[in-house]
Amino acid sequence: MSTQQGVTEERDRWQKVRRLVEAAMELPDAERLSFVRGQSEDTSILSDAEQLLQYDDDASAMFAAVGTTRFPPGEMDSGKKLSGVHIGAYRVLNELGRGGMGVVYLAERADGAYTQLVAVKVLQEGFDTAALAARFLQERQILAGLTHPGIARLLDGGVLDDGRPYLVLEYVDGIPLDTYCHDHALNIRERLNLVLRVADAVQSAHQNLVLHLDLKPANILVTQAGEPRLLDFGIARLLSENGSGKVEVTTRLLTPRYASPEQAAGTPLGVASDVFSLATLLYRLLTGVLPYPLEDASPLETARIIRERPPKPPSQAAPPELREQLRGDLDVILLQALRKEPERRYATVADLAADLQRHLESKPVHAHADSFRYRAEKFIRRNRTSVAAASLAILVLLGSGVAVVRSAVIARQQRAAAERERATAERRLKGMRALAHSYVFDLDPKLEVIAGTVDVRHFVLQNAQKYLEAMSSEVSGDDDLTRETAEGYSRVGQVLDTPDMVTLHDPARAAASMQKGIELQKALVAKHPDNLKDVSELIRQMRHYSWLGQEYGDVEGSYRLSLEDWDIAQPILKAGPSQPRFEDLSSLARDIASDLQGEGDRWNLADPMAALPWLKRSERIREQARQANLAHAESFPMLEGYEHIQFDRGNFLIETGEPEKARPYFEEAYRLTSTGEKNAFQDYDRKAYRMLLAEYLLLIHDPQAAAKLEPELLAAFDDAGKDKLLNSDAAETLIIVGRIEMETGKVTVGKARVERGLEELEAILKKNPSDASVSAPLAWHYFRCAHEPAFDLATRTRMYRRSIEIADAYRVRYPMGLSATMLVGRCELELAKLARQGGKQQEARSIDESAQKEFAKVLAAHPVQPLATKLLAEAIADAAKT
Amino acid sequence: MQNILDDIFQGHGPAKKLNLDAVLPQVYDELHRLAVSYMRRERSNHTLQPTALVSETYLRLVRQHNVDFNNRAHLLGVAAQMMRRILRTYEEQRVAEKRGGDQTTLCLSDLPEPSTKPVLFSDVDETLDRLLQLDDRQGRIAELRIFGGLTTEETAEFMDVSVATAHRDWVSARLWLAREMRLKPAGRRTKASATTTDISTEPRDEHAAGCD
Repeated sequence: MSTQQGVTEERDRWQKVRRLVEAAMELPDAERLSFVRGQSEDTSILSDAEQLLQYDDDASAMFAAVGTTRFPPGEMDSGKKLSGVHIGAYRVLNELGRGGMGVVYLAERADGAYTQLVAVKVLQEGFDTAALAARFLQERQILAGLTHPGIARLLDGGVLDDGRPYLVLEYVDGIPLDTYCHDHALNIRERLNLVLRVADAVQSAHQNLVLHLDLKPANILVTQAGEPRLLDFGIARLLSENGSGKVEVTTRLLTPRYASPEQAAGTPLGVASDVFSLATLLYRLLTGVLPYPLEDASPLETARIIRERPPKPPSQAAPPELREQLRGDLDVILLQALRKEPERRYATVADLAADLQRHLESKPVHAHADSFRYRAEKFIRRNRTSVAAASLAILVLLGSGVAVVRSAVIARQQRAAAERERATAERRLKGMRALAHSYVFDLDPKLEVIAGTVDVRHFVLQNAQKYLEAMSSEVSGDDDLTRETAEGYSRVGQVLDTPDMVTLHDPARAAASMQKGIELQKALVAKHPDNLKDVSELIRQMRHYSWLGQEYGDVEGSYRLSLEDWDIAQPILKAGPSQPRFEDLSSLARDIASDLQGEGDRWNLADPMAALPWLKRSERIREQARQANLAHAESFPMLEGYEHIQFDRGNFLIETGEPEKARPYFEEAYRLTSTGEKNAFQDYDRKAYRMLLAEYLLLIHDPQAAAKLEPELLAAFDDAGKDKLLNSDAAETLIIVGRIEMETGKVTVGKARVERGLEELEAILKKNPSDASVSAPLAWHYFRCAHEPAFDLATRTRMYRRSIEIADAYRVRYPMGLSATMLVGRCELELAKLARQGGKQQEARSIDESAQKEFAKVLAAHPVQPLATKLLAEAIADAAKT
Repeated sequence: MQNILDDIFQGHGPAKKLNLDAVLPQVYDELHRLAVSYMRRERSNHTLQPTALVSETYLRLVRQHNVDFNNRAHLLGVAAQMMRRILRTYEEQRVAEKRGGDQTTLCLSDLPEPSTKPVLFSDVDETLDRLLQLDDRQGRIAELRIFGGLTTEETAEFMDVSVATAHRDWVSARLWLAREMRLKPAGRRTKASATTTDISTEPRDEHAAGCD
């Protein structure tokens, strides 16, 4: 049988089968098989049709989204069709509306006994899966159990002749809650009172183990008498039959704008979900807007925003004239009710209502702002690879203020506490209140935007220092206070200056402040050596201090400090990955490696072989942490930091003289930066690794590949701004792009760009000559640019000399920063080659000899240094040529 | 989804006619962008709901162009076809690059019941091709529904057939597709994951609560 013929036969056969199947599907479920069996077709066709009919349930499950026949042919307008029809004792008047799963009709009681309007909710035609029907029946049972005056009552229920179940509900003649508030121009107090009555109804439902899960203005009608009534427990489910308090409800039938984060995420729901939705509703009624901007968001975006975006304090979202009324209690109450994690909200709607009531009665509310540790840790988790952690510093700093205020409040309540303690607490309270206030109400939104906001930081700093001064006099003997003060000093130091971050760049004051913090923290650790939290905080503070040293080129000091830090970290290392900040130790090991042999653009000890075991340690710890976190299933960012590992491996190959092998690592590092969460940090990392990849490609003489990155490189430095960091990035980008152009035939443009970039970096260095984070890259850029053959001999010579000059200026201060010595040697090696090309044999020879001395210095410090060995050999060979 | 669409339309002023040709490239770009970004985001667990992507794309266009309601079926229909093509290209690339492991799975249901199971894109794709062989119109109608979430009326309008025909075509097509996908021999699958995606087995844990 030919294929063509086979296909034709198959088709014909299918036409017969489908006709049978389609006819059968018009019949009620029970009659379908007997209908098919009664037909006079081939038995093979009949059995095929029979078989297909058995897949009805499967198909419903599989294609539930796409197989829904919303309006089957011939029944397009169910409302008209049912109009005038009797349902039980009721006569349908007209359609009121359609919901996610049913049509609601207005009907009246038809037995003449008395006139009563009701709403009849009928399962919509087409929604005929057994699952939905079962759910509908469930709703009926739920509603029958609710008798609160604030909830529309269930009056009756049954099944229509065609098998569709229906409910008869109390008809509520009212207008939606938000419209009501608007039309009656209710003030905030009146609105709160209205919502309190809604809350009462919701609470009563909760006590009957019923969640609403679709609270929104349209589902709450206010009658002419001003009574709110809750409608539509359409997606509610019995809270739980086993008493676990959680119920699995994932549904897209809900109204996304008022959904809770757990609804948006499709995770199990509890009463906290209604707490959240009610708070969203109240927020809307008080401010006129939703807690997050959702107006333009699609449903998918909406779900993401609800899960991730922190709400603005209502006082900031409200029109100016209302702000004063909302600031304070209502801000705090709503923010607590709108927390992303259900367990951190009010436990019940009644608790939320009670706090609102307390507010109305001007009593102190129970809500409190987010704890700083929680926020900070969350922030750190999200941004572990972060660059601009200056904002984080502020966040934590100010957050700690809130914690202090809280402890002070508690202290105040304990009247019996010792007088001195009380006095201390009150003083703390006084010093901290302004800070706490600005944290919650003034700064938080500004901090969402990471870009350089120097004014904000100055402002923060003033407050912070006031706070520290007030506290440092109290320190003696009080451990908690010591902790707070130590951390405060460290944070202030970070805001003053943290390498590679947008900060105030004041290293002297930063160092002083960090030292004070470390001193206090060390005393704490000495007193409580078993408190690993204190240990971990000390590690953190010392890391920051060591970074500061690194930025100013004191690589040896930074290295020693990090080694000391490593010793301090041993108890945590022993305690294993269950320790909360265990993975920080991976970064610490990497810090040490980078002092020994970091990326070329940082001054370092030029000892790659010593760096290697630290890199391996870093990888191992990260892996341990990852494994442990996998078990906890808490969303550990698995790929985070992995790009650094790739980069380190590639960099190691370069520094040991095998750059050509490093390509996959650089490419992978860059690729990894495009995975994972999109945020400012990720974005910065991506730019940085793009630059490093481009530079690497130039190093291995593949300018064509580098050219492919050019458009993105150019686009990236558009956002260069007011800050040193961003400017130096932009300048470096100019240099790299210029070199790519020079090597791909666009010599004139390229040259101009390179020169402009170098000038720019020179200008930045001039402002702060001791800034190693500028001097190192600049010296290295001169070195690499001088390799470009398109520059004339004089220019190249000048560039090598300038590179040596910068390196010399650095190593006078830090002789152990041997990467500068390596650089000087390499420049000399090249200068000698140029001199030799120019026919100056004698000069070439003497420069080569000088280069030999430089490499010998490195080898004296680190006998196993492959690159230094290789270059020394080269210098000797070159010298011999003359 | 339907209700949201309708809400949006009601919220707009006088509708203007949409020049379909003018926006199609944009439809494609948007779909592609969304699909790729979801693939990335979901990394270890690619379960796409193509109908959601199509409707999201559609909503964006509605906002930008103030689309004429009458064109909706056409736009959705074209988007559905594009959606399938994009997923196919992605899948081909994946196979060509020998990226193992994660085959693309689809969620064709938006019901909350845990009984709804993700299916392998490649299974849907292949089975749909066979249906097209059997009955071209039926196959195309199934494609519109599966990849674009079009309703009976919309498929009818797009295909220019009566609503009754569109309804009948789908009634038998869904049964046939369900059977063929369920009976699919494991050997026919490409590589790996037959166990995780076999629709006759229990749903994977992560899908226990549906497909999201």
